[in-house]
Amino acid sequence: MSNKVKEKKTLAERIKPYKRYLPLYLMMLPALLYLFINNYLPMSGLVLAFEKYNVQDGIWGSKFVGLKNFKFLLKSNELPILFRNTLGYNLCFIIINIIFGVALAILITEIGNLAFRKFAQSSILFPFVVSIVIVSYMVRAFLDPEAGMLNHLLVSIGHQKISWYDTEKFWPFILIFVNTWKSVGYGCILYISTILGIDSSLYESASLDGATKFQKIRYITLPFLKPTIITVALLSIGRIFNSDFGLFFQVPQNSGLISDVTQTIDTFVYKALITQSNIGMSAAASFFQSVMGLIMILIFNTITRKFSEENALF
Amino acid sequence: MKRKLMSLLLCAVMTTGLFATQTVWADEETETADEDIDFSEDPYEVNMVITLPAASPSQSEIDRVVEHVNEITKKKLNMTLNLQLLPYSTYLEQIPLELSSGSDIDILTAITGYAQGWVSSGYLLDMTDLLDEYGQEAIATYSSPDLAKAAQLNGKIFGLPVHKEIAQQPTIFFRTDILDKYDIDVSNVKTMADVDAIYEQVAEKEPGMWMLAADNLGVGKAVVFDMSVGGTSFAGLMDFANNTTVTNLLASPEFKEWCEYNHKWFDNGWINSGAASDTESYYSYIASGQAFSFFSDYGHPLSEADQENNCGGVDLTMVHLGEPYATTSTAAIFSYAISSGSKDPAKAMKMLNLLETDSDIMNLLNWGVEGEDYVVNSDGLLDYPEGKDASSVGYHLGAGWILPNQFICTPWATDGADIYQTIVDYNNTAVVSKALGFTFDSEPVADEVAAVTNVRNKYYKALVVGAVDPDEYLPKLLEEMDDAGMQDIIAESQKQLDEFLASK
Amino acid sequence: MVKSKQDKHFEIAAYIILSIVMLVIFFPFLLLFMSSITEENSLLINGYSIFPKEISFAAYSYIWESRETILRAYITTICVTAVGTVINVLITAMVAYPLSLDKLPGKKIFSFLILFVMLFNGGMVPTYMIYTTVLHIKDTYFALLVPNLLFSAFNAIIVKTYLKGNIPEALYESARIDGASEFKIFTNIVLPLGKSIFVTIGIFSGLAYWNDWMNGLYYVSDSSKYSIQQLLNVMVKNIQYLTQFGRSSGTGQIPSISLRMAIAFVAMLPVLILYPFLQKYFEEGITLGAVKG
Repeated sequence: MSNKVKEKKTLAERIKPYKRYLPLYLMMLPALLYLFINNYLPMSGLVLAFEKYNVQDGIWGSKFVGLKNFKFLLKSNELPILFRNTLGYNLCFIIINIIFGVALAILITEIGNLAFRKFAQSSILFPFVVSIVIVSYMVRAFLDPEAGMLNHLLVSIGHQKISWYDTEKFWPFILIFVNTWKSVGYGCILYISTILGIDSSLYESASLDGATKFQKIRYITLPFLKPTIITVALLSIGRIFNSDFGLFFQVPQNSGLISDVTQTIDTFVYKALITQSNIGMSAAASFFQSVMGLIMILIFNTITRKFSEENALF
Repeated sequence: MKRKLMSLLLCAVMTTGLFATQTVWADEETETADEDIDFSEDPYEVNMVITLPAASPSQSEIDRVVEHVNEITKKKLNMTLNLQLLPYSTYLEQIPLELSSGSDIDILTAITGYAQGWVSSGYLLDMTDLLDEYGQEAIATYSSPDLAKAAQLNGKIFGLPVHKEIAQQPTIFFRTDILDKYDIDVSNVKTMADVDAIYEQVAEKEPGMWMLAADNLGVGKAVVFDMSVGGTSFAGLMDFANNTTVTNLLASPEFKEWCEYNHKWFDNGWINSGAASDTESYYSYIASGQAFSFFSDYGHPLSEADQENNCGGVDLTMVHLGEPYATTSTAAIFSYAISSGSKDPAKAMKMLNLLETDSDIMNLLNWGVEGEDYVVNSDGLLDYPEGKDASSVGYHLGAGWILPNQFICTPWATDGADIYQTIVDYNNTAVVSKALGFTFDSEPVADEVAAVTNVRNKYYKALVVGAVDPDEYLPKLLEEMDDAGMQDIIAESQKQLDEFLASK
Repeated sequence: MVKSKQDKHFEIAAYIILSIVMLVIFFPFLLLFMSSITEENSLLINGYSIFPKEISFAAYSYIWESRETILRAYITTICVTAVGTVINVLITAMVAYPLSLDKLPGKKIFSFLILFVMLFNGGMVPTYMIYTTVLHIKDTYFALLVPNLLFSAFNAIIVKTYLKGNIPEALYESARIDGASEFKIFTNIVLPLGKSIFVTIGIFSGLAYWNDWMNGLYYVSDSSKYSIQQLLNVMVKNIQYLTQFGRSSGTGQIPSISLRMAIAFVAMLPVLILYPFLQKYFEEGITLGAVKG
């Protein structure tokens, strides 16, 4: 009995230091509760990847089929192309969005004229307001083989029309351009808010010490941006096996002849399963993407921890 | 959507005249309802979903009409209807999701192209027995029991096809003004070569005009084959009225011929060069005067007027390049099914049976409430009330072909009294596939279908609109299809088809 | 402060580069707008151009016919966006602040729990089941508000990074020594000092709500509760359907290309109008953020 009292005491004692954290945990509660409902409860759906789903048997009662649902990914001879495109484009997107985003953020914050700065800041986010379907209409307005602006231009300078939607070699550039146009503002605005949060006295004293513009960017701005850049990069790497469906499906208008350079895992799965309504197979594809993403993020997080511990995600 | 929706329908139907049939039912109405219905219990509410081609009326208008429907259903079946009308785009997103989570929908529009997945995932009920027990009157509304049972998978009936044109027909539409201008006689046009000759003639005089407004939606429209046998993988039957050997349809000489002609036209600049990736409909090119003709598989007698309307009123001449034909996918593109989540499938079946046979309900669903949404004119046909039109009446679907049985509706004045009879007559002329009623279950070869579909996506559209040379790309396509497992699909399809034919 | 010569050159270069960038950004919008007022047949024949040969407002008058529905959808979306954004920012801030503290026990576990949902999801079927059969949000305004958009793991991690890098923990410590509660620290230090990042994620969240049509697509079938994007999306699909499969719709030729463009423009319009006002808050957040010591 005395033993028990003693144990209780130590428990209370052990809890005590945590007590001051209680309000903090309470603050986290709404978000965690939301994640529980919106994300963790539906996680049961992951088992669908290993089942032949039948609604009458339910998620837990459907027939277990092991890895059968994953086979269609391997069976297609496309897998190397899918990997190359998905990873290749995403890697380009991550690098280009960071470089352009940071560069534009620095330029914008350098602008002295407030009205111009505001305007630049708003406009850079503007493409974000349009959905990718509308972007695909815009692209069509430029590239349509008959009515498109570019072909009209080409003809007027005496050049042959180009059938853009059938010619592979243009599409890596088009897709990268469209993606940059559409999403560079997202990162840019994050970097702007980080730069503007930097204590301006740092720049002033650097100027007094005779630092050049580029030195100030190199030694003050970039180090402050580093945590945000690393976080954005790590989070993007986690989704490197997923692709923006609209960008790769709507923008090339699902044109077949260029599919070797526009096909990604997501568009392949969509096209392969559209008429089959096979929940198990699509669950399997997204499970595969998730696991690969998890592996990537674990690898890169470990690397980050080695070089700058404080910026690792976990 | 792979196949053209309009490929439809039809069903078949009653060979007796429309009005005769109606009278018969009017007599029946006076009879008392089925004695095994217990009117003392609370009315059972049937949840029903119908998909519409376009915007649906507002919910309050639907409720107003359904109230009138419920008066009838309460009296006859002691049931009420809870009706949802969804635009096609909304339907396609919401309904599979609802079905996959076991919703309590009782009756819904099913689309054959998706039904295979829905059946094998258990969304739809096998209604074979229910139909035997409670659906005899509904079956009687079809011209043959085969048609009534056209929507089935592995011997299980999953739906009752809507009553509509069941046949497609290879057809070409020319602009009449151009034909007249150059005094061209189209009465002898029967083949692709004839079409080609006309193009030669017109192209010479109208440089810059596209002879053909092509689209990439469907299969080559002058080529006739039964695709229902292999789904989207293009395993199917050629010459399906006599032949039951499954082959790769894209390996057929007919398909090659289609591609060759199109390629020639494409190279001559006679086809809109963006067709392979175009999402625009070819009607716009006819309307804008840029193009001279287009192919269609939609060639029934009412089609010419429909197409003229689609083309903004341009005068068109319809020329058939083949006989009308009916396959599972043309005859049963839409059907009415019972969901596995239904709380009382027997009652749902009774309701469906009533919907298929009660002209008052069909009139309500299609045209709204008499006196409010329409009036009966002196010919006994329906028209808008004085001073109203489609946009100002509260409820007017005018989309009978998506309802369970439009043939028992009273015709709309502008459609003419014999519109439904015309369709029925046309259906009766169709060459019927031996595989009518057979739907391929792709489940056993799902991986191969995924791979083959992917290969086909690469080249198919470009070939069909002539953008690439068939001598180079067609062998490439066929070889890659075989690598992806086409022969396995054909074998599986043949096996299932043989079983189906044996059971018939 | 006097600017050095180099600084001036730099600024001039910034003006030039940004002007080019903005041209690239706006040109497609201009083309979109001009094609929305180009006569349909002229568009097909003469091609897309910023100097249309024939101007027609047919597309806008087609849209004008649905003005009541569109107005209602605008109001729905604006309300949902406003409410959703406020809640989103608040719960994001509340979870990010504790996570930004080095000492919080279990920090790594919580961070991982948040990160994990960015990688794995159970798919639509179970999500749909939970929202419709457990929470019954189908055809309610909650359907537009709650699923997926109320909290973003990405934003939470970004805010955490920002707070950790830009607000020294010593500031919290001294407040604690002065006897401030954690909630007080949150409202008096974290919220004002982090304002620029909160405004930023507010913009992200606001745009996500504004652009969302997936929630409506899955959970709303009552057309009186459509959000603007869903409504316009349904309109575009219906037109596509009518022009491709239209049978005796009685509509004749619909200006489908210019109509699509006009619809896109209508979807953006309120953002165009509201943006300058929101921009003000953005600037405010930034100046406040800059005064911290």
